[in-house]
Amino acid sequence: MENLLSKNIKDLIPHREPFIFIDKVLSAEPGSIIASRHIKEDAEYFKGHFPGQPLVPGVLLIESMAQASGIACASYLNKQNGTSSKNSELYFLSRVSDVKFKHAVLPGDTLVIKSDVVQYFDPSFKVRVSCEVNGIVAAEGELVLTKQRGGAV
Amino acid sequence: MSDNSQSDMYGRVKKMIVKAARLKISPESIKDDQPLFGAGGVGLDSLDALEVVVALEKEFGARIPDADVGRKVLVSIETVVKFIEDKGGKSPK
Repeated sequence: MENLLSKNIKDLIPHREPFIFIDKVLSAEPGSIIASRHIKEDAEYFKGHFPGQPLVPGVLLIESMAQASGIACASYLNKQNGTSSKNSELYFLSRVSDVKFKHAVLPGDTLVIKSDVVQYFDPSFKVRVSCEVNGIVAAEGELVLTKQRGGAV
Repeated sequence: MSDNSQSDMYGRVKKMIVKAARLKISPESIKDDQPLFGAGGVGLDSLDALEVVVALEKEFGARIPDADVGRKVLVSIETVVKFIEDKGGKSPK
């Protein structure tokens, strides 16, 4: 398997600022990824979520898990097809199932995001996801990502 | 396979599909030859298909290896039951 750990995150996902919510890949197996995300203390959204009590919005935790899942899905297909990663491939978030938010994520925290492909049925992937801070699960659940087919959404 | 156990298999597959796809219909309302997708069908979409594939393997031990096979299997209750039987899938609990 190609070494994803040494790659810039922009070489692995199609997202660009201000909508990149993972920093780097910590470990990678086909269909299984662990990535990290440092939560900057001056993130713009903390001004409003919430004034005087900054808290990372749950939807952004889902986005971090979805972006990591895109890499997991690509690595799964690369293993199956004998290809290598291309950051131009789009994986759309298609379903969010049974996601629990179990612990607050605060400014300065570092998220460890895990994503494992549970099932692939072309063009969709069911993935089991979680994110942790200092070993404590902040959120976990299941997502479905769907690979874009030839330009059509 | 006896008629009774085959009838039970049809019932279990209908229940499995309703549960996996979270359909708001009763399993008994699904006809054996009714299309699972499209007009006049049960109402499954492609995301439901993924859930049904997962449930098929979990509950019946019948693994759909790829989408091409899936398109032939996920046609109606009859085709799903035949696939389980051909695979020698385990009897429903």
